[in-house]
This record gives sequence, C-alpha cells and structure tokens, in this order.
Amino acid sequence: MLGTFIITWRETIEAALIVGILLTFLEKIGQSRQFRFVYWGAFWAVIASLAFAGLSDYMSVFFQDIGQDIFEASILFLATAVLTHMVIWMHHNAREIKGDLQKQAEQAISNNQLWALAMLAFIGVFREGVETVLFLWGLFFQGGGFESMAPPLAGGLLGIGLGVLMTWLFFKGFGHLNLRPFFRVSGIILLFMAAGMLSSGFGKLVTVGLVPPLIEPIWNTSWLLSERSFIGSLVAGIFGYRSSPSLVQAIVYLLYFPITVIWLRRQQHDLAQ
Amino acid sequence: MNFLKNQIDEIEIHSHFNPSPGDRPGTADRRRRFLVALVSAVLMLIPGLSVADDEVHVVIKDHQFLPAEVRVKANTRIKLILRNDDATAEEFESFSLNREKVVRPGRSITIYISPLKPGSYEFFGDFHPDSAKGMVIAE
Repeated sequence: MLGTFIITWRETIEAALIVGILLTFLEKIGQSRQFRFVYWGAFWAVIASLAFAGLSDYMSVFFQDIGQDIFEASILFLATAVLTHMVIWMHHNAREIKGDLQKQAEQAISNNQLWALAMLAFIGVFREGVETVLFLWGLFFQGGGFESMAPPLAGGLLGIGLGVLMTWLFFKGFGHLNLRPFFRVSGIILLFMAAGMLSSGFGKLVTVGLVPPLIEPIWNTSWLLSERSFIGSLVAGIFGYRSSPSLVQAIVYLLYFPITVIWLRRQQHDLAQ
Repeated sequence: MNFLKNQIDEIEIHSHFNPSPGDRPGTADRRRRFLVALVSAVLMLIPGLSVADDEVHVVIKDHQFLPAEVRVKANTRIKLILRNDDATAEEFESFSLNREKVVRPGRSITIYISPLKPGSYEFFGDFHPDSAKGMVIAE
C-alpha cells in the first residue's frame, strides 16, 4: 500500500505543479474566468491517458519498443517547446506590469495563448497520466480477490488525493507572493522543467540506440543526491535530475539555458525597436 | 569514411547522365552531395547500425527478474531484451545505468546499455520495487 501511495503521490505532484502554475498565473493577471482552459487540458489529458494505456496494446506495432520511446521523446520535445514559449510570454507579460501589485487589473489574453495554456496543462498531466494509469491498471489484475487488491489501490488513490492537496496548499502559500517574484520563481521552475524534459527526451532516444550517448556516465552524483531518496525522485521527476547522465543529456540540459536566454533577449530587442 | 567517399563518387557519376538543364552547373550536385554526406555521417553516428552488441535476455515473471543477476562483458555495449510474462505492466529502472522504460504485459522491450566499467549495477521494477530487483554484473 505504501509503495503504490508513494508512486502516485510523486506522479501527481509532478503533474499538478504545472497546472498550479498555470492557474495561479491566470489568477494573477485577473483572468480567473479562463481557468476552464486549464481544466479542459487537464481533463482531456486524463481521458487520453486512460485511452492510451488501454488502447496502446492494440496499436502494438507503433507503440511497442522503439515506437514507444520515439513517441515519448516527441511528447517531451513538444513539452519543452510549449513550456519555453510560455516562459517567454510570461516574461514579457511581467515586464509590462507596473509596480508590485498583489493582483493585477485584468489583462488582455489572446485565444492563442489560452490554447497554449490548455495544451500545456494537457501535456503536463498526460505525461504522468499514462504511467499512473498503467500502474493502477496493473493493480486490478494483480491480486486475486478484492481484499488483496483494495489496499494498494486505496494507497494509489490516496496518493493522487494527497498530491493534489499538497500542490494546492503550496500554491495557496506561493500565491501570496507579489506578481514579480511569482513570475520570476515560476519562470525559473518552468525553465528547469523544460531543460529536464529536453534532456529526458534525449535519454529516451539513447535508450533505444537512436542517439549516441557520447560518454556514459560522465559523472556520478548519487553520493550527493540519489534518485532513491524521496527528494531525489522528486527532483528527477520535476527537473530531470539524473545522478549518472550521459554526455549528450548533460550537453542539451546545459545548452538549453543560454539558447533560451539569447532568444529571450533577441525578442526583447525586437520589441524595443 | 571510405564508404562515404564511394557514395559521393557514385552520385557524381550519376549526375553526368542527368544534367539538369538551366541549373548552374554543380550547384544542385554540391547540395545533393552535401546532403548525402550529412545523412551518412548521421547514420554512422547511430550506434545500433554500426556496432555489434552483446545480447542478453531477461524475463519478468511473478514480479521478479529472471535471471536476477545478469552477467555481461565490461566495456562492451549491451543490448538487453526484456520480456514481461506477467499480466501487469512493469517499469525497468536503473539509476546507475541511467535507464527507465515501461514494458507492457506480454511484451518485449529493447534497452541499450552503454559500455560499463567492471562492477555491479542495480536495477529494479519501479511498479513492484519490493520483489523485482536485479543486478547487471560487468566483468
């Protein structure tokens, strides 16, 4: 029971973090009315996770083995692109805000941006959702009777509940930050998440031999922070931390930041002109 | 690299039979040659196509790895083929090998493991970490 509890708890926190940032962001710019876009994205992600976990057995040729990794890598690369777009947009938005108001007067938000928000919520939840569904699904088949099946299943559902609750409380506290610190902190969190997803995507391609690892591992920091510890597993899930990464993963992780900053600067420059 | 050069030569020969009218001589050729060289270079970088790997097979049964101790040659790239005979999904995970991959019930997956220094490397099933434990021993 404890095992299933911890797994779903972790996955839920990872997914809820993105949803939480999006909701808080909308609230801060006075667009609480648009929460539904985020909820839509999250809702369809749950449906898609159920469908994907259930149906992928029948789409075996495409989603088996290498197809599975290519698909996951594509999702991760797409997530990196959408997250980066989001951070850049939030950054520009924050620059337009004058003064550290607790709550900003309503700001215009285009339909395109709303769909980007919905898509980000979708990706954030779908990414963790497939794994969680597969895992919980397995519990149904595992133990024979209801008595042996109920505790792990209850643990799993409890984990999801607590994950949502914790993230909600976190944003309750976080939400009291003023606008500028909120943009800064959430922007940095999202950038690290994006770098982690990019690097994990390359990791998937290395696993099936489509991308050379170059050198693997290039270092081992498990003595400092092991993925076995709870903190380590969270940092791994959210920021893509790996204690024994391949060189190619480390390169894309580290290159992501300067490239994004240069892109950001260039856009600011364009706007200024 | 010889193989690369041969391909470029071949394209050069072919292009004599098909001179594209109106095009500046050589431009399209050069572009095509560059493309072929690029594709070849990328293909050579894909280890799966150029390196012979040692294959090892592991089966998941009753949420356990069989064999739980996988002996492999050190400093050789390993192709690990993992078959799941259980009715539930499992996730192969190893922090020291930097690998993580779901294997659905009744399916097989392939995991490439980079050349290892002699030593032992733990792995486990993330969905059943209490029973599914194993170790790759490189020697």
